[in-house]
Amino acid sequence: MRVQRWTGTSRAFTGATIAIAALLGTVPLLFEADVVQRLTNLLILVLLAAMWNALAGYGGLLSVGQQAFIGIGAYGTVFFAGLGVSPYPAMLLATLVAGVISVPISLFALRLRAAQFAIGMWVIAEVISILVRLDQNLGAGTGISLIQLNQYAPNFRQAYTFWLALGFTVIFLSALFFLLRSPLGVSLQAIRDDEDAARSLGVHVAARKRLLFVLAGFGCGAAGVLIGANTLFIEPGSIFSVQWSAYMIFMVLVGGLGTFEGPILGAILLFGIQTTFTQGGPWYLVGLGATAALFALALPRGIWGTIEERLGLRLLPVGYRVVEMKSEERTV
Amino acid sequence: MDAAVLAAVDVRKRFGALAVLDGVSLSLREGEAVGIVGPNGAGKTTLLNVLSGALAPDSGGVDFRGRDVTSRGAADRCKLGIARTHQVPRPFIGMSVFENVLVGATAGGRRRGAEAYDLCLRVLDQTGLTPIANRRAESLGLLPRKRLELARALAVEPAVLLLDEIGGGLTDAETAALAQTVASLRDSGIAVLWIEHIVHLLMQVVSRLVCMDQGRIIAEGVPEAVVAQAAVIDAYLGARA
Repeated sequence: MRVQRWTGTSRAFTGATIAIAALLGTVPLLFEADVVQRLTNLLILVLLAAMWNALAGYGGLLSVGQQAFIGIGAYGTVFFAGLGVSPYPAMLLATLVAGVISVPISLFALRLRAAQFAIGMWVIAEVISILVRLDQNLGAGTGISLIQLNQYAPNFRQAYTFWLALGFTVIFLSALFFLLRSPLGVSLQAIRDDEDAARSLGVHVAARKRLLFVLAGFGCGAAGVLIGANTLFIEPGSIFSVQWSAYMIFMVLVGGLGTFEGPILGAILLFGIQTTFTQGGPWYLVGLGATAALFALALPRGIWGTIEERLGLRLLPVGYRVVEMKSEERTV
Repeated sequence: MDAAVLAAVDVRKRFGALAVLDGVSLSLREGEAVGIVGPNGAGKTTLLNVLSGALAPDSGGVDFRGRDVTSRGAADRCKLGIARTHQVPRPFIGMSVFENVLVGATAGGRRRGAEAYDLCLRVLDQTGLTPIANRRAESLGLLPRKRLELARALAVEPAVLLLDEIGGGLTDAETAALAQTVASLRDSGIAVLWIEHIVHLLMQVVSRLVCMDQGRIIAEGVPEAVVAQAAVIDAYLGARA
């Protein structure tokens, strides 16, 4: 017997994914600004879904407060741009700040378990939101425009933002992919399934959870930066809205919690729904919530998790399979 | 006498008003297999939880190779070489059997890459799990789950193995095979502490038997002698009748 990680199919599909990512780079050259803006939104959704999945699907951390980091990323950009940093470097700085702030937050939040953690994260997001509302320089409760981005012509601005979104998405999804493929990958999944049993097998649960939490802090911060740059106007009521968590939960549950491919699928699905039902409104959110609940009950492994189970398909392989040796290997 | 590899020193643990462990001292030498018997609620599993670091004692301590490890958590103790199984199996249900075992090899055993894979394949072979190596642990029945508990612990390459009722529900042939497996682990130098209700299974492997009742050790020594003691018959066998 031997251990197999790549198959012909998964090699081909991973190659295709890399090719698609490279092709996406040409989008701003080929399409109008409004299409580019919408595809930027798609990338933001993919990034958010992957980060929530990293927390919940691998670390067992069900957060409904990741909008804290989204808000820090968006407002961080405004803050640094206000200090005179040019807009795009300001976005990188803001991402960095969101990631770094996640470290002290983790010291508090990761002491909480399960539902306490979920609610605790929501409280943290609300507290940060209130702090922003108190700051006149950040537009207080009424919001603020990212006027510094007006120095670029709309087409160029949209292209730069798209490339930044593509770069962030590739970087964070690759980081997660390689983390899950590394020897730490199985430890992370073990924590998700049974913390105490993981501990009894030598997994340092607290340190591993912190790793995921900080990764998600960076990733959600990056998404917040992109949301700000893509909409040019932010206000605390929407950027710190728990709605972001609802979107993330929807994408991950429907796509497939704890699978690498599922959340990407979920993001594409939500993007499709958002494009079709542009009116929004409360019934739209009720529909999203009901769908997510339905999936949790009827198809708990989500669309991708079910496909993977039925067909034994792994396209972006982070797992392991034990297979028979090939005959030439057996004779060696 | 060889030095103890693992020792509990006057361990006490209360859950509310109930003294679950009431001053238990026990030591385990290198390559020694010790059995623990006793009625339900005697404190056997609690003792194992204290030894493995899953539970902190109210007083008393745990020494590993002469070092006090009482303040070390379960993960640290596993990395030092103390591995355990759970009475009610706790598989990582979302992962394959192989991946479950790989957790032990990589986290507790600090093995990497091909070294870790080979170790896991060996352990799967040893525990008879190779044919179901790719099955999701969620789909396993109780017996394979128990074997998986043992396999994961073995993948740590432990110096001490703490077994909590891995023998229940087996056929005679399977019981004999299990006894042989544990005996060979003992012969390879692993110290084994084994909680089991099936006394005749323990007798095939252990050189020392400990009987617990109401949080205390009430008898300890050569298995045949312990089983013959009146107190043991009252507490353990009497409780079952």
